[in-house]
Amino acid sequence: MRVTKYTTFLLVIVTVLVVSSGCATVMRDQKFASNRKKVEKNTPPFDPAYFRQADRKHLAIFFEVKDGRLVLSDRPAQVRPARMPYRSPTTGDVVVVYRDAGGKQIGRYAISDPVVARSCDVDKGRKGAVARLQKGTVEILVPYDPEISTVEIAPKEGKFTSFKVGARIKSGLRLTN
Amino acid sequence: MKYRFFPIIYKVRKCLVRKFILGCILCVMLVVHTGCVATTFPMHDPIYPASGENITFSIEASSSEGIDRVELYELVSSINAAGTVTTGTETFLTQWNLIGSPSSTTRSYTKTGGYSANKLVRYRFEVTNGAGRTRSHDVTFAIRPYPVPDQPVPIFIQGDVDHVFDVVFIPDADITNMTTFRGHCKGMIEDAVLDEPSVEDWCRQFNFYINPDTGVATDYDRIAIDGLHQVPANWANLSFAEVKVLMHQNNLRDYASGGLFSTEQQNRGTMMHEAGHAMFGLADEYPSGAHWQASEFPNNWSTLAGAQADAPSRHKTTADAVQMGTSGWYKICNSGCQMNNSGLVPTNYDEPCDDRVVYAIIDNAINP
Ligand SMILES: [Zn+2]
Repeated sequence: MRVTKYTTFLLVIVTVLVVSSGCATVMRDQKFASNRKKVEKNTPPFDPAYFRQADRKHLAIFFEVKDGRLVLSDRPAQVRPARMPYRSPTTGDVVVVYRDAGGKQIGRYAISDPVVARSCDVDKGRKGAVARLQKGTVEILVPYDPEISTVEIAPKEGKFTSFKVGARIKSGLRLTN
Repeated sequence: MKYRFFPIIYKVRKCLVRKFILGCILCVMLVVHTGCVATTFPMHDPIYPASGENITFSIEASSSEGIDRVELYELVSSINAAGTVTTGTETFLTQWNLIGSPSSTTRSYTKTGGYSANKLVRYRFEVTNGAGRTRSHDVTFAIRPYPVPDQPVPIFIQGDVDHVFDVVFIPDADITNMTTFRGHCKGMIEDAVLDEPSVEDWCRQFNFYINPDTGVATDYDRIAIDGLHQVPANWANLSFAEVKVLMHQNNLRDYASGGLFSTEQQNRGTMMHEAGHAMFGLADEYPSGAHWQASEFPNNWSTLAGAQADAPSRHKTTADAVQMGTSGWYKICNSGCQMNNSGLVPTNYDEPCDDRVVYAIIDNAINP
């Protein structure tokens, strides 16, 4: 084949395109491989004795729904086995903040609104729907921390309602010990 | 002007072009070599075998560097009613040496006679790729009946509970055939959760359990009459799990409330839609659903401008930003996205939702 300026130019362009798209794929693969390695390295193997480990527990605090609003229940907090489930602080339509007696924030997370029933059953021509509960019981999970004194709950970007939960936690711990 | 009239320039340029192309290829090969060792999907069948029942272990493995060898090991531990585990010793079961290093392979091995009661079985596949690099992938499951009362039974466990997503399948009291139910649990694992394209690459980050106690699902349209879903008696012991799914037989208008969602046992699409909420914090993509804008990798936006601005960095164009009905909320995923669908057949998450899925998997593992 005769190599002309034109064919050289074409060859280089095609090579650059192929290699750059190949590189983009490879970089993506490499980023994935590195992320997966990091994730799997950070994930210890399953311990069959996990659920018997005394230091892994969390608390459920109970609320009553009265006319669509949350009211702190008289029930003591319940100590539950294992750590609380993963809760992202960055998503969900309700924010939960827990603080110590001095008002210092211990932690926060976001969840789907616990005072609704949400039907996403859009199968068979149905439509999704969300209904606010008027009555019932709601549980809010917090880490096992006897220092937790207040729990604040708010719709995202809404006004927080504060609940003094310290006494419920203390009575729950007394029941367990 | 043609180079052939200037032989030296012609040769130099030709040589440079060759070197350039060769350099690019070498770079790509170098980067490829630092990629994934292999992708592995182990499975066992039946998913929750009875004592003495035959069990088939299988693996699907693939690698861009080819697969040279697959080895299978087992570790059998004893577990008593108190949940105390006496760990056994890992033993070799079998191996396959693959001729020609195929890029993918599926292998299976049947353990005739299975295992006795009160056992936890861990099987481990070790895959060696064509470059001599190995990947190990293990799964732990219990033999039926599980001796620990009121505890969810481990049926497909891969990692530390605090660092992975835990999914508990709860049978509804209306289930008439538990073998069918267990078959659907296996289907939820292999044909729904771990089959989702953005999830399958991270398949080791999920644990699955079957609950020994039943719940009772109610119909969304009858909440005022029948009340909310009745949770199983051991509800407090399931609190750790990100997903608690009540699987029923009767046809109901399913819903989620209080950290529990219901689905007909065969509805993999409903499972994946609800898993999108429960594990990954994805919002709905249909008009009358639940909407919020996550601060990291949202799939809903409260303004059109916000959706349009984010679209190019989320695999979409500004033209993809649309309002969901008249909700005042916006999305960029296509209508086939799982967060716009539920029912029998899963539809997969669209790319913007994939971003959130991967973010949540990494965040759960790194910041449990
Ligand atoms: Zn939904």
